[in-house]
This record gives sequence, structure tokens and C-alpha cells, in this order.
Amino acid sequence: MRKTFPVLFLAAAAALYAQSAKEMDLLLADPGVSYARAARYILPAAGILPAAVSEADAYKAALERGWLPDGADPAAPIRLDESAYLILRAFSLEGGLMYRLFPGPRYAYRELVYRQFIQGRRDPARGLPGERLVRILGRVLDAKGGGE
Amino acid sequence: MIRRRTLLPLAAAAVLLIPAASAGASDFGTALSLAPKVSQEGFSLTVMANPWYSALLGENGELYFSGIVKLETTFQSATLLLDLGRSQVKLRPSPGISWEFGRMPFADESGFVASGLLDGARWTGSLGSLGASAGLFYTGLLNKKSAEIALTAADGADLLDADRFFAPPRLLAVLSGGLRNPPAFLSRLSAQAVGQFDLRGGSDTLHSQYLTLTAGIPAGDAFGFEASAAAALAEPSGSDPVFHAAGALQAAWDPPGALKDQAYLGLRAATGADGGFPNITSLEQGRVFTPGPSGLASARLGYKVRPSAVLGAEVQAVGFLRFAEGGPADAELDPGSDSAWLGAELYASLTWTPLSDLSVLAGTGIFLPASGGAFLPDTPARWLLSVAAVLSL
Repeated sequence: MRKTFPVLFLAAAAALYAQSAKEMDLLLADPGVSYARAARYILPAAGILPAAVSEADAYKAALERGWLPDGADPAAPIRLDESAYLILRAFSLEGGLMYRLFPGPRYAYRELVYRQFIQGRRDPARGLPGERLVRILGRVLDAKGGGE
Repeated sequence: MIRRRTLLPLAAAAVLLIPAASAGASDFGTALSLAPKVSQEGFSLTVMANPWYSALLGENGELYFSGIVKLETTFQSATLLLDLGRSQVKLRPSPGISWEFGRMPFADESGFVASGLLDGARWTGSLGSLGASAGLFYTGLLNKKSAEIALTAADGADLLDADRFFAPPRLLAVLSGGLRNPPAFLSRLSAQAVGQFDLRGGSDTLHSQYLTLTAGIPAGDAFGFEASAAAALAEPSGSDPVFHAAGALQAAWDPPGALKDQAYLGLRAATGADGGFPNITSLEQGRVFTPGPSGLASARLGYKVRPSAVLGAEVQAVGFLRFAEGGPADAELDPGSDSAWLGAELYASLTWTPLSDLSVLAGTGIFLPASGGAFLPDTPARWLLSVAAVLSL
């Protein structure tokens, strides 16, 4: 991406405007974001839920929409590919041919890698640190115009 | 026919990589491609699958393993090829430093020496104010059809030997260095030394050494030049060493405006005391007419444009000349002619990427040989029309 890291952070911060500094610190320090916390930040950033939504309500909303695995423990760490699927669905991003045929985390992850929203060393089955989530959301918002 | 030794590289790689594969999380996929082609030689269809596997190794390592399953068919024949693609372990012990082991892409800086996948090890890092890399590679486990190494008559015989799968055994030692902060009037300044050692033994061997200097010269916001010079010393067994030289100059112009486009002009030439240039791997200089760089001079004028994220196009015209000795070999060249002008080629291509995992590349071109000059009288034009669709699974 052409934007620099601070710009991405600002973009993400703009979308997460209602989060307190304490919440943001907690997110950035989180080594493995949970399903509930991922939904808590992704869905409001996409404008689907209000910024002040709780993790439990955000998790419930994502689960009801089928964007999280059935029966996923809200406190368990979300995988990188699962978070990619959540982002793709929440932001209504289009995927590739294989995603259209078989929508799910595997090809959602590929789409975000192709669009360079996910950068650097990566493994779809690994967890998602909070700092990485902020970077990814920043790039998504930047591409959609939210970071301009 | 697939022989047992064809599968050896695949088996060896699998034995090495399976433990790593089971050690942790990983990713895998396959790229499928379908590429029909029509030319003056007839119709052919290439179907290829490139399965790949990747995994993170510890905190600083990555593993990537890929294979090649290629089926080439014409109306008369079909050939199946199994091979190992890019397969390597990459370690980054500290920022800016990496170690690579396995089969990895390599291209020399001048484009006159070698290009393609090579087996070996490479270090990339810095030495003071230089960005540097050093590599040691072996060609004897490569598929001979991919590497197309033909430096000696023995290499040429091996290339034609249907019972032989592997490329000639050669060792390449490569040392590269470039200024991290070049002077203001340069965008790049780098040097590369390549030593090639023939491990075949016997009386028909050829060792060779290369030294390349490359400089990038900016000229305002829109223009840029790149000049490259390569000197080579070939040491054929039983003969005195022979000096060769090659050079390339490319000028590029990025027109102002929102459109992402570029016009370019390139000049390339390679010759030597005996006419040729000892390029190690096959380095095709054209799309329809595909001679190597040895004993050849070419002028290339092209334009490429990317009007949108999903569409790209390029058109280029190339004129080919040969030196008095060591030029390309071609069945339709007139052995009685000493004409330097070989002919001209026009090629256009279109890249369409409608979806992130689907791309289509179409290309068409024509080569107009110097019929009655360097080529035999009535040599017909050569042409091709090709399409390739690639889907990533």
C-alpha cells in the first residue's frame, strides 16, 4: 500500500472513533484477538453496528449473520483467515471466482492478501494480534476512502 | 514417458519438507493454467498445474514448496512433465538479512548471463554502505528443458538426448553489491560477479567468468535510463581464454497524466572475440523469433499501459541484427549470406485480471525475416497467437 503506517493507523482510528484510549491500548497489546473482540472492532468500523457496541453484542450479530464459525467460543482467538472472512463480509468486499463458488475463510484470506490488506509474514491458521487487526482495518478503510 | 529419476527431485524435496509441513499451521493451493497457442508450426495446448505449499518456520523462517505438472499437447503428440518448482526455505535472522536454501529464482543483473530457477544457497544483507548478496548454485538437478544450458557441444548433445532429464552439472558462484545511497545523479549503481565452473569433466568443458556493472540514471520526473555492461571470459578446455562483452541501454518515459503508461527504448548487444557470448541459460530475446543474446544486437521500442486495475496492454517492435560470427542458429538462415539484418518482430499482449484469482493473458505477434538477406529466399513470416488463462485454487 502506498500509505504509510501512521496514516493507516489514523484511518483505523477514525473508524474506531468512539473507542477510548484505554480500549485501543488493550487492542494493540492483545497478542491474539478473540472472536468477540474482532467482531467488536470490525463491525463498527464497517458501519454495521454503533461504535459503542459491546463485544458480546457484536459477536452475536456476526454469528447471526453467519460470518463466524458456528459454535465458536467468543473468548477463543480468531484465526487470520476467519477474521479475513469477517472483514470481507462486513465491508461487502467482492472476492475472486473461488470465493464466489466457495465463500469462506480460505478464499477470503486470499482476497485480502491479493489486495495487500494483509501484508508481511502470514499464516491463515495463526491468530490475529490486535496491532495487525488495526493495520488491516486501516488499509481496508483507506482503500474504501475512509482514510482519505 | 516419466522416468524414475524425473521424480527424484520431487521425492527428495518431499522427504525434506514433510516434517516441516506437519509441524504447524500452513497454507496450500494450486495454480491451474490453460494455454492454447496457434502459430505457423500448428496448434498446441499446454495444461499446467502448480501445486504449492507454504508454512512459517519459527519466528523468522518461511518454507515454500511447489511442483510443476505440465502437459503439452499437439494434434500429433503429448508430453507430460513433472518437475520441482520454486521450493525454498528462507530465514531472516535479523532485519535486512536473509538466507535462502533450495530452488529459487535467479536473474543476473545484465540479463546476458543466466535466468531461471537454480538450486543452491543465497545470502542477502549489507556490507557497510553496500547492499550485497552472495550465492552458490548448482544446475545438475534442474530439468534440462527448463534451464536449456548449451555452452558446449557436449551440452548440446545432452539437450537432444531423450534419455537425459537433468541439465549439465555446473556450479555458479555469484557475488553482488550495490550502493545503498548512490550519488544524486544516479538512481542505482551495482556490480555483480559470476563464476561458472563446468563440473562435467573430460575434454569438452567450459568455465566462464562474468563481471557486470549496472547504473540507473534519472532524468527528471518522467525519464529514466539504465545502462548495463558485462564482460565475460570463457575458458574452453584445450584453448586459450576468450574475451566477450555485452551491453544494454534502456530509456523509459513515463508520460505525465493519470494514465499509468510508459514508453521505452532498449538497445542490447553481445559479442566476443569468436563472435558469441557464453550465456549460461537460454535467454530468449524475442517473443516470436527467439534467439539467445549471443552474437546478437537488438533494438526494442515499446509502449505499455495500465488503464485500470484489471487491464494491461503492451506493444513492442524489435529489430534484430547479428554479428559476423556467433549469431543465432536457425534452420532457415542462408548459410551463404553474411547479411547482418535478421528481421523485425511486432508483438502485442493484453492482460486481463477480472478477479483476484483469475487472469487471462493474450498475445499475438509476427516476425518478418529478412527473406533473401540473412534468411533464405521465400522464408515465410513467423507468427503466433496465444492465450493463457490462470486460475488460483
